[in-house]
Amino acid sequence: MASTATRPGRRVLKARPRNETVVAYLFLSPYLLVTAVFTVGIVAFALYISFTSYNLFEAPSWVGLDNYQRALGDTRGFLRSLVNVFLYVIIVVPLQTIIALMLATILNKPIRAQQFFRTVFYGPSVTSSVVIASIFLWLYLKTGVVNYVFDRTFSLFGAQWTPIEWLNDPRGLFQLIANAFGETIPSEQWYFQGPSVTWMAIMALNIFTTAPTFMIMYLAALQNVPPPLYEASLIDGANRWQQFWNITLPMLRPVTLLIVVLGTIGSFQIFDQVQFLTAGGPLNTTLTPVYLVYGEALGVLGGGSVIRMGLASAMAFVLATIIFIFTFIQRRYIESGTEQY
Amino acid sequence: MRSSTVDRPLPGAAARRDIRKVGGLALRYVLMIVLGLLLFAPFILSFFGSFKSNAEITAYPPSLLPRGEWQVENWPRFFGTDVGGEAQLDGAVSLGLMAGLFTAFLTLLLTGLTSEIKGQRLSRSVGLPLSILLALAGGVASALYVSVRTGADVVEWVTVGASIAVLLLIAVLLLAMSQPDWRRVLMALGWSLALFAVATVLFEQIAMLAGGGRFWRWLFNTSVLSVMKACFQLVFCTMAAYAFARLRFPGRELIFAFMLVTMMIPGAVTLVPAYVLMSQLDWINRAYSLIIPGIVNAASIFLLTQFLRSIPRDLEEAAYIDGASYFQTLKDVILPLARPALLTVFILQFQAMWNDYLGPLLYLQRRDMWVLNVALNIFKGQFRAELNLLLVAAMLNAVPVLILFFLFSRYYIQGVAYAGIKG
Amino acid sequence: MMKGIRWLALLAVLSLVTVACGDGGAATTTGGATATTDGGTGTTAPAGQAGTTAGDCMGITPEEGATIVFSGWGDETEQQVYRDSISRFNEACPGITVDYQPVPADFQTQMKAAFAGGEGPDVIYVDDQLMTALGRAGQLMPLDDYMAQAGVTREEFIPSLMTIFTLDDQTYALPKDWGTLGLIYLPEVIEAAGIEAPTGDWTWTELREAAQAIAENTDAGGFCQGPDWARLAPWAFSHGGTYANEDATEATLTGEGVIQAVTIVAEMKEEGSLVTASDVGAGWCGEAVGRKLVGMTLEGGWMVNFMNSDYPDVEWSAVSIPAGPQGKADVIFTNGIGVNQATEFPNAAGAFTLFVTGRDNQAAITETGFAYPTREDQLNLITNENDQAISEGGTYDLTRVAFWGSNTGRVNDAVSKALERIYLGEQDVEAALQQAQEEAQLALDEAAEQ
Repeated sequence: MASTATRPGRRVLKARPRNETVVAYLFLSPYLLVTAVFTVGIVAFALYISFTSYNLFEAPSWVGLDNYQRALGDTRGFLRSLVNVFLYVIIVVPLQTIIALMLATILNKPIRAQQFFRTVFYGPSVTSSVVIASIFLWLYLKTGVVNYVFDRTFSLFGAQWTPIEWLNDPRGLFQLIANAFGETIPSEQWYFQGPSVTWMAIMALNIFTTAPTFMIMYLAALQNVPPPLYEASLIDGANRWQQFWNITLPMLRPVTLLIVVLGTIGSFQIFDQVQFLTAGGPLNTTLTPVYLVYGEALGVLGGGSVIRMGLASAMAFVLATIIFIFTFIQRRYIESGTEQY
Repeated sequence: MRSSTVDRPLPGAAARRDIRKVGGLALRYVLMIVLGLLLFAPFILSFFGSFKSNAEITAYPPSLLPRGEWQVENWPRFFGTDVGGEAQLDGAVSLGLMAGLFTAFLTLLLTGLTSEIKGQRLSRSVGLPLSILLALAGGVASALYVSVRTGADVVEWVTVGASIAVLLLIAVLLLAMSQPDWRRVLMALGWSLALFAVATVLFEQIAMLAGGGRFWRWLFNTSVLSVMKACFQLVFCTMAAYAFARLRFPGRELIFAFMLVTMMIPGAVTLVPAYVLMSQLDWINRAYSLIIPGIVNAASIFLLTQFLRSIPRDLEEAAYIDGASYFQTLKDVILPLARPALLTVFILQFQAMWNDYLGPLLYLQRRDMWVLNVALNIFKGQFRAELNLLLVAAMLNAVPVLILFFLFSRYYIQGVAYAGIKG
Repeated sequence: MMKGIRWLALLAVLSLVTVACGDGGAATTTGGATATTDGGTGTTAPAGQAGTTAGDCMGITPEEGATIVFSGWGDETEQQVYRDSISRFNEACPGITVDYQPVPADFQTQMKAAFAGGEGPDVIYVDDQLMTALGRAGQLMPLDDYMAQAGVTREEFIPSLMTIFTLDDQTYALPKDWGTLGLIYLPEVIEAAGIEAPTGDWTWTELREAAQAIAENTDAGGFCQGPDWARLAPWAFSHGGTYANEDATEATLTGEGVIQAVTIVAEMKEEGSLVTASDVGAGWCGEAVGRKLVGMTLEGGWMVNFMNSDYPDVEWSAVSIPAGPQGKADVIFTNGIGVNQATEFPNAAGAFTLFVTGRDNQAAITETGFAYPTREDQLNLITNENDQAISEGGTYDLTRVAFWGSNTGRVNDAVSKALERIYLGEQDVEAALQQAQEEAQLALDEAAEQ
């Protein structure tokens, strides 16, 4: 084996110790062990539970596809949560991506203050979701700052503003629009009513913290765009807007893909703010799949329910499948553009 | 930036262009200031709000600064909040053991290797079994400690002891692969076990002293959990990353790809079975439930692997030629070079644990094991009529992370940006 | 090296010192000798039950050196009430140590997790949620044997209180207190509206007329009621309706009684005589009364302490709840105390449960004004006038607990949601109740499968 000599000038035959494989696996063993138990084992266990009826105290009993059928047939519960979270994704992901890009563009000038402002912009994202939720719990009060700001803005234009109870308003967006035209969307067709005011308030709350994180990614990517590209376009007579559209955006495609995929995966699993602020209400308009999984697993729905771990697990798998399909489509769609460059 | 090849424009046009540039710059500054204020506004408002009186916090129209007196006593009042309840030994012991385990690991890995041999060597056939025995003894001792001190159930002390024994064993085997001086290893083991015991008892007692339903205890819990998890990840993720980045072994690509896949598993899927597992293992209300599954993290390993791949290999090659083992190389050569990445991982994981909500919500339910986020959840209900106190709680939760962030913003931002570029 | 040793020694000494000083609460499980349960005191009259023989309390012989953990929720006031109860218990049964561990919030979730991990406390509060989660899963100990030993019968208690805690004719918890709703009003507002003060003989119609008068003649709202199943319950019950049938297999939300009740409430909301707390800018109707934003509301005994502490200068009064066409009815909220099936000290835990819910302790608690006693013959111990008026609601024939089996929460939730939709003007009464009926029926069907 390798000699132990360390005196300079003394060279040894082997350039590398021979036990590479063993050592490598030893290095990997903590990861492998933990993953085997807490990831692979857990997911397998989850799959098993999803086919059983399990209330945590008595042994699980096999029920086959029952849980999946129940979940997918639960219009006002699980399906509602899927609709809610779908609305959330298609509104929030584009918004936060665009806002992140805008913020990054504004910051992307080699001025001294860039570091400072970058830090300031990113600051709020660093705190926990429940801290932000607590603060907004206060800001969203009927007597809170948000209503106040609206009030003053409206009064500037001579209009009247009725304070909204932001965190307890189940009126859907499309419902409100319909109401403005004197129509109503009946309650049975809740899926047409659009995201409720409360749901939109939570969307705003989240974009507030997620946009800066993605802004950082965009900033880094922007700074990696080679300047010669811009200079060449200047010679061709391109103006700022054309530069942005034809050079910057395409160069940002990979990072945009990443941001959109990350944003989607994260948005589909929104939980903290729902549990903290609304518990799925009002009228199930902020119900999300992960909250339902949590609720069914711990029996905390609607003031106390029977623990149904099997159902919870089934719902989780349905959600995971949907996320997977969604992000797969996204990768295909956005990535196909990247190949040109 | 006018080059001499461009025709000199008329003076008027030049002036106009200058004004436009300056104007654009000024506009940019204004925009940044406005946006910055907007983004920080909620924190500023909350900070001032925490000094308002109860009635004023819900009064309309709201004001930026407190209109009446500044109720500075809101803050000490919150520090003094005691929701009642005694600190319980089982939770404190779990915190202590995790801290102790890390201390042991650190000591062992740092002092177990040496490049100098003093005097006579202990033969491997004696040193190795003895070391293994000591490592296992560490696990057994922890199991006994948990069992005797807290009267825990069989399943708890067996799993805890086994986990600790396995990890210590891995450390010993790693050292064994490095052709060490066994006397040194045994001594290092002895020291680490001793420090293990000391650290365990120390942290356990601090936890008990910090109380049951008090802010100080929650702060302690959150801090210890965050630091420990980040530290453990530094050790174990670096090891895994080194294997991926530098070592050749069958299955490397496969395992790496597998790791990437596991990063895509939504947390919702693991929620239910993890909870069932933790409750069957009796790990609810114990630090083990959050730390042990958290000693590795695919994202951290990924980040470190990418970083390590970018380090030039010459220094390592030199070390190998000098006869250093893999572990020695990792310790003496790679680690110092990887400092920025290590710091980034530490900060990001510290923040992730500090801000974690769902995990502690499920596993740390008892008052003396709360973390700050969970306490905030309870206070939202309790202080429904006293929002000013809720704001104090929120500020207290946010301030440590914000301070850390402003001190090390470079690393935070690097970490996120790095993920963006390489992802 | 030497420096290292010195540091180590310092640390070791430090930790030894802290161990010596701060060592408390190491859970020592003294393997108590299994208690011998003698035949109890049999037919002794319940009065003065506290055991007179050493080691023999409530007619039960507890295990030696028993330590039991007792857990419940509650704010400071409630915690103090129970600490006092524990002191009284210690006098009666000196050999037992009770470790009181109140849980300020999320009690049910914590208990479920604790029991699942085999770490549940020995004696706990039991509400309908925990009865469902734990009682049905065999995690609670039937108390009938201990009741027999202590000479306590099920009939002693107000009948409707026992429904939740009974399963297969066995008692799994004993009610510790209960509450109900009464009609709260502000004499000041009544006078300003120029009408007569409410009395215990009122009907809902008279309530409505009074609310209209108040809304017309004063600035205050007439009658405050949120879209909440609990506040609707007295209306529904007194119109002869319920949310589900006797054995909780069918939801009855589209029955005559419920429809009539909800229609009146909906009409009152529309005409403006009924307002919600947030309509007038308050957090709940009690606060609305305290701030004189409404004239009347339905609230319970908690108003006494609330008004005393938050609005001591406001004069208010309570009468018993108005009557409906079928008579007077009220809704009861109750919680009980139960014993962990896996407890190591069943006798001690049983004795403690029986003591806390026993006559003497209940009488003592009632004196503090914290809660109403659970035995009908002790109701005369209530001294506060307003409490007397409110608590009368517990005695009517049609009064019941809003308990509908394992999925009670979801059934009640369906009602609340229907009311919310009605208040919003999104659905009319029939459609809303139809939807609620479907949701409730689904919940009941699923409960039946368990």
